[in-house]
Amino acid sequence: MKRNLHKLLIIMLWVMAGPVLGADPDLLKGANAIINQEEKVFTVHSPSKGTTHVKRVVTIYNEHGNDHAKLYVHHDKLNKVDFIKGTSYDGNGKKIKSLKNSEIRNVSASSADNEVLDNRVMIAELTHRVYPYKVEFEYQTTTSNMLFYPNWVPLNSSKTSVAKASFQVMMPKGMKLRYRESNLAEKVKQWSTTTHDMYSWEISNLTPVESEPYAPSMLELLPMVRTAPSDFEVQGYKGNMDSWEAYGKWINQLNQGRDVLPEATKAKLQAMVAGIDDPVEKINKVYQYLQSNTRYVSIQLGLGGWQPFEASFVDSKGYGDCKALTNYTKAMLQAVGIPSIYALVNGGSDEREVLTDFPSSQFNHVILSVPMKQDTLWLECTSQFESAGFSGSFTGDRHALLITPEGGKLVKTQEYTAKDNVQSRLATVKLDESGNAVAQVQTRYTGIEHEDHRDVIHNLSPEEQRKWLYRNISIPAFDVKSYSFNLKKGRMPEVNEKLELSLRQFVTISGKRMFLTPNLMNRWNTVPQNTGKRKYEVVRSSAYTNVDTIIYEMPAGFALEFKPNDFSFSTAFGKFESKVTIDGRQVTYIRTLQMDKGRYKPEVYAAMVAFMNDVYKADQQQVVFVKSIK
Amino acid sequence: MKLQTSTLFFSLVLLLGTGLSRGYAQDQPAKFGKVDEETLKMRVYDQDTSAAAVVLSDHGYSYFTYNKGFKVVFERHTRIKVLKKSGYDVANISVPYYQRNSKKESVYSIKGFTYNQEGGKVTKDKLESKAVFDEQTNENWFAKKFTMPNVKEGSVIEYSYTITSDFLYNLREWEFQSTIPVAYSEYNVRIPEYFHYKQEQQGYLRFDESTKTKSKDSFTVVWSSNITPGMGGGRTSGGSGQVEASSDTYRWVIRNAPALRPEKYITTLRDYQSKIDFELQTVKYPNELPQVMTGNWDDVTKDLLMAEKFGSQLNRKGFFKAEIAAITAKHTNPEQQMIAIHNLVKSSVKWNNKYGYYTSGPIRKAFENRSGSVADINLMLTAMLQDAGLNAGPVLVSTREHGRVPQGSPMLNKFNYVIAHVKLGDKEYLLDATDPLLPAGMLPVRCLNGQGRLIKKDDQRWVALTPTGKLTKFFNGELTINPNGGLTGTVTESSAGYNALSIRRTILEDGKEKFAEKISKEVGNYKVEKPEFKNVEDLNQTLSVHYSLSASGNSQPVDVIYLNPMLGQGETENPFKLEERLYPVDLAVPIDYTYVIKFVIPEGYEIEESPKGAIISLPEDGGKFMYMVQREGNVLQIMSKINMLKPVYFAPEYPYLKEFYNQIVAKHAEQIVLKKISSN
Repeated sequence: MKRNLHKLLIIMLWVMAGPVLGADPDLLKGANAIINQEEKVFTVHSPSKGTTHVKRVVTIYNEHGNDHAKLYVHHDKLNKVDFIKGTSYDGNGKKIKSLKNSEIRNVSASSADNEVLDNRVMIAELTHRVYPYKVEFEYQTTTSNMLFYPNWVPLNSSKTSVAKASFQVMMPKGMKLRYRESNLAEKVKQWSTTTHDMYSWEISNLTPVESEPYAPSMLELLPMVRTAPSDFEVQGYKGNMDSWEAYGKWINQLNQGRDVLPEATKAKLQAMVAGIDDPVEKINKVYQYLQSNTRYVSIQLGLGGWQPFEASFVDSKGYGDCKALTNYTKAMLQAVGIPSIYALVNGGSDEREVLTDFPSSQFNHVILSVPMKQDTLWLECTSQFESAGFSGSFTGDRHALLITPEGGKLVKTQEYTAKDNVQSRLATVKLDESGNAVAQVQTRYTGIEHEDHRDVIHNLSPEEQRKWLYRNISIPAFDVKSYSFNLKKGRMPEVNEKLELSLRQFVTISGKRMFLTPNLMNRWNTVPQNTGKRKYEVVRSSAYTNVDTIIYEMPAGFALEFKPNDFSFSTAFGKFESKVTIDGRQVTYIRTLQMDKGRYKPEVYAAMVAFMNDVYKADQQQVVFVKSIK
Repeated sequence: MKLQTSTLFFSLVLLLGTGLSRGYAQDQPAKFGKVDEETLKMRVYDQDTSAAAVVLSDHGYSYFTYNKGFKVVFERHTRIKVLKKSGYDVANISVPYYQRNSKKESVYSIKGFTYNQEGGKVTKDKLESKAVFDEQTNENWFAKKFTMPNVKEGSVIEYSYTITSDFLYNLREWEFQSTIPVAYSEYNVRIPEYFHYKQEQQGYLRFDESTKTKSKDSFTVVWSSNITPGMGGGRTSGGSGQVEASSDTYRWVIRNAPALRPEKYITTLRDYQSKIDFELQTVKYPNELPQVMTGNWDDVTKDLLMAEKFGSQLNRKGFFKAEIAAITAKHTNPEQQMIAIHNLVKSSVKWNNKYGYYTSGPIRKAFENRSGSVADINLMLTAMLQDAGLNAGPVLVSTREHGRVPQGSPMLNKFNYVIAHVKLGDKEYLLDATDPLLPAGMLPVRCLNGQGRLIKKDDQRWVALTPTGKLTKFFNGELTINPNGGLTGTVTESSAGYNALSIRRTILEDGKEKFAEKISKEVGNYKVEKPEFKNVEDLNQTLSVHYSLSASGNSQPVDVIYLNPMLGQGETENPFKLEERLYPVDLAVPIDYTYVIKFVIPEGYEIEESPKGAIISLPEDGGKFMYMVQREGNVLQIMSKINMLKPVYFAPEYPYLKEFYNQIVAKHAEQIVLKKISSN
């Protein structure tokens, strides 16, 4: 019976959906739209020119699927839009409208005041308000930037299903296609015509992918084909991408001859380091000179997206983007006899993955690598205040491509572990009988843990810093009596923070009892949701250690009634310890939390949530005192 | 000559004459291209030692020219001292400009210098014209972007530019205050007698100077030869002549304006900024009747009611006749009719997130497309209400983000929204159909901003946009305490007003299933299970969520049980932490949070300690906190009620607010202590 009902439902859906919408009910589940068909064809005409043609038919079932009725086509000086066509149809397959060229908006894709980019986007929209409806888009772009070949990610939006999608690459005979498949059921099909080698992928019936907390990046989970050139040419610069080495050689071509400094500047720099022998000190001098004479402004037009401004331009104008400033710093170091290497990297706290065995243009930032006797010193040339040699969460712990004279070479940047990223605190809290208190708090932040304070010190005025403290100190009611930050620059920079706080009713007094939560200001107050069954691996990407030592001086006349247990948990994700000791009127609380980064099997997620909940519970523990009867 | 004047203005080409004196009034502290050494040496701005940069001087001048129609010319010269690296942003400048159809603004004569002092020498770097980039932001908006060369700590930068504009309606406004301090800001406006602008000033600062002088402007008029087509047409020869107009020149100066800093609980920072704004009221050319652009509310109301994209839409009733007839046939009570019409609009047209009080086209089109702007939707609602015979009219509104509306004579550009007003007997309602979750009579928070203007022929006035609902939450728990210190029981959380609105929105976005999953979780010792919802769809009823709550205790009975009776639900941090407050605290909506929690004490235990009751009030009935503890047999009941009665508290009330919440936080942290009765 139940089965019949199910069938009936399907039939009814079919009937309701009408002629164009006979969708598979499995695809409809959890989806706001179904991509009925998408055909993407990339035709390579020559090493310097290619065309991408896309045709897509999407059925939109409710308002949450309306994003699919909008088409965004990015373009710039090297990528032209040949045409965009679009038509929408109602639930009965009757045409609603065709897109007019005048309805296509063309807007700038850059917005910040310190950016001048030629990236623009064409936006076409066919949104309709009666569901379901169908939109059909067809567009073609021609690129003369063959550094990039397209990626194919058929399921690239959430709550969407794909009935059928295909990707085809047409290579002229004699030109090689490089590709990388991931999460695909069916591998490539290959054949040849008289003029072309053909590569084709097809996929069907993809259902919506739902993310999970602490899941790996979606790009790891989705079906995908990445493609890249072998021989290519951009604006007359010819290159090959078969190896990292070859790609580096191409970058060398672009940078060729751009590192020439005016003689006057060279002389100035040489005078500046005269008498200094220590190379680190020399680097610091030059880096300081960079930081006080230049600033980051992103002007990237056409080939300027890959080719730096000449060092002499930066020298006379005092600004440039990451490429220009790195190239300039390299030239300056050269002038004082220190060789360094221009290096491509992915900047950002989440953008770490580089497919190391698939050489291709996977980077968005440039930094400078200075080889030292023992190790490597990395310089971030776009910052006016960063410590020399600190990569931190922006470029640390990932792959960078060194552009050496011999070509590209992939290396790892500096890693920061739980031992490097430390927040360590010592506080003394003096309580009075009414529960108010004065606290002296000293905290040392190192490595990645120092970054928030670093930014606050450099970007906020004292008044705003004080407001920031009020927002970020988590104590129920307090006033900041005084504060100071002391930044010590270095390869492992640190900030020492001193706070004097007056706490209002920090302990709770109920009748003759006094309740003290000894964790002063570092309590965990959320626990992630335990989602039950889990599909994907668990990824924790931050590693740090927190140590809190808090010493309370209790008012006279109270006797201990209850002391919480000591806790100690050690798991694969981290370790936690807390301990309360009482000595006369002095209560000492010590809490140590170390979180490690790692990648774990899906099954362990529940254990991680349980560990986090244990920490949460331990942080809530109270010490209870009773007024001594006298 | 005189005879010719009016013709000149309307059929010939008029060029700006050389006679117009362009220099502005007496003092001009900054001379372009020159900066004194003292300014370069300065390392700290005395009035605000924390400033990362300071605007040394900012001069603006607006005046008129004529070239195939009147144009406004705006000249600006700005000089800024950079004090810290965090102030470098001031050296990246973006000048937005606008174009629509054939009308346009253009930016030209961009000039700039950066001055530095190096080793006792003053260096001067020119902004090169190839460093000025033109960018199209979207179809109507463009920007000239430029970046100043060689900016360092201690640099002085200056730049100037000119904008000509075909858009006379909004003479360029002037902001005397910025997010960095402004040492000197001056605006000059020279307006020929043909134009009358209304001026609107706002902010917490006073003008140091404010003058108005009269003068004569002499225009040299040049007209070219012209061919008039058709009957009686022919060629007229070109020529030139003089036109004289008297002008008013205004000058405003503010010195030492402090930096504008954002705070929590405000409408928009722009409301607190010192600035001056203009709106064209009338245009009167020589020998012509004056054209009223806007003016008194009588005329504005009349004009709006005739406007194609406003009042005239209220008369296009044909397309919904059948629907309204069905509603009036079904409901006889006017209030029910109103609710039914509101529901009809909400369910048939979806808001496209566009603001404005003019419709985007005929409202019929929005009805057919099932999608429209605020004006499309709410003017359609008004038209339908009127069609049903209800006494309804549109109300112009400015949203909180858009800022305050000055009262007095009308400035239409201060509004950006429209809602519907209904009067049934003595009762008045404000309706907005852009949000399907809003019941009739309740406004979205964005609209709770002072007063709106009712646009009705026979009943035009300001109406207060006060919230009809509160942020209402009622937490009702019944729990049994176990001898091991754990808890089991049930909780019902009921919400009304703006609290219900926000929960309904979450449920709509997540779906009921996801939302239930979100609620059911384990945090610390507490575990929420089996949530059930009531009245999710019925907007006029109280929304409630019922669930079971448990807390794990020890593995065995304990002698003393400690328990926070607020179950971790109370206020744990004071929302008002800062010592001082400059602006009013604008909560938008009153707050009403009630907790009633009953505990059954386990047998064999007695209450050793329980919190004391308390009542705390804010001055002038601004708010009240009540905390009561009652005991009946083995049941202990805790009641906590927080009432914030006013949507807006003024800055002097801030210390009271802060203390009020301190007390609540402290009370909510208090504990119950149960003790095992000793067997002997």
